Amino acid sequence: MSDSWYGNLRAGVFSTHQLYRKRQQAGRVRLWGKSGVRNTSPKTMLGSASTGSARRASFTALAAFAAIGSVGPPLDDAAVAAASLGAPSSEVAGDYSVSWADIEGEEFSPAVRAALQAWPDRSRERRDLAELAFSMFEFDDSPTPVTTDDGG
Amino acid sequence: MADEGYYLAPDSEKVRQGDIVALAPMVWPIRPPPWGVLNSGQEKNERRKAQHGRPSTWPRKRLQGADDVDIVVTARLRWAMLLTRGCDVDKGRRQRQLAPIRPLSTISSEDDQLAVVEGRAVGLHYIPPVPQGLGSLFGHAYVDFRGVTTLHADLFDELERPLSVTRGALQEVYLAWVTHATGRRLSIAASCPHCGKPVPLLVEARDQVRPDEDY
Repeated sequence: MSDSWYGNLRAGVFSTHQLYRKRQQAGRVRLWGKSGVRNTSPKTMLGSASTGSARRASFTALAAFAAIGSVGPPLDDAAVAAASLGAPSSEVAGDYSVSWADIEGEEFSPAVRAALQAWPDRSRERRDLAELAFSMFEFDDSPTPVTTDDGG
Repeated sequence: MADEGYYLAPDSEKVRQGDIVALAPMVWPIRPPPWGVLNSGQEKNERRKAQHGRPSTWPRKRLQGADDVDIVVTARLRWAMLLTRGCDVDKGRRQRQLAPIRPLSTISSEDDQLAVVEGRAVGLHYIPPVPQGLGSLFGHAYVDFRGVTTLHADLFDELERPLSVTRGALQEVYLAWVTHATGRRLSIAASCPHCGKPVPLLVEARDQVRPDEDY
């Protein structure tokens, strides 16, 4: 598997194909991109494996997710237009180009790299502390309502 | 720098706290005004005529909190860690609380990066890179308790769940979550309210929990 964030998204797209196939029946996927807001169907994003276009479609989906994949309730065009007015576009334009490979080593300052080197020791100390702390709590398994009147 | 003792493959049968999922929709903090999607009718083909708008245009029952309203929110698909305990999952509860996992590099200031790695940033909990043996799924990152999103179990179950964390790592996460929620940091010693001297409370507890071998 790729060591890049981009690659991870790609892997995720393949693995969550089923999710979007399901949503294809239930609703639509809303996308924010540099050109604005678009309301598209999951089928458009992923294509159909049965027609042999899965590879191209996955690439399309990758680009879409990279722009920003936003899964919301079923929306009509008017609602999407409304969303565009309130959408924090500068944020959703995103950091999709962030690569994990890029952040290894040279992206971090010497001080941060030193802290990362020292982290395992600190982690062990915190685990010991957590172990002790939680051993002093009594486990409470009292029931929580499974359903509530308002459907929560 | 990957810690082999931090991550493990998830239980394929059971969902457990600490499980990490791919591409979970994590909601950004909702900005004002929240835009509602108001259906004009119950019929399926009437959905295209849906109204939308600011709260001032919503029907009274929705404004009063008596009815649900579909609010347009912004989300990003991210790696995320399950915080909901496994016993709640086993008992059929449908809420799945997830904390987003974000790259450490998205923190722009060196001081802030240091604070996260050194455990001084309440709310942001550093987690190490995933080792190659488990797929190198992501690098230096942090769990962001500020952005916890609740998903329904039906959606959660559709997500890929390629990774989990060890018990020790999970306890670290939970301790960090408690710190985030309370703003109180756990210390190995507490100050005596009368004389001000440190009282080694957890040292005493440790001796009880893990007595010396010749105890």
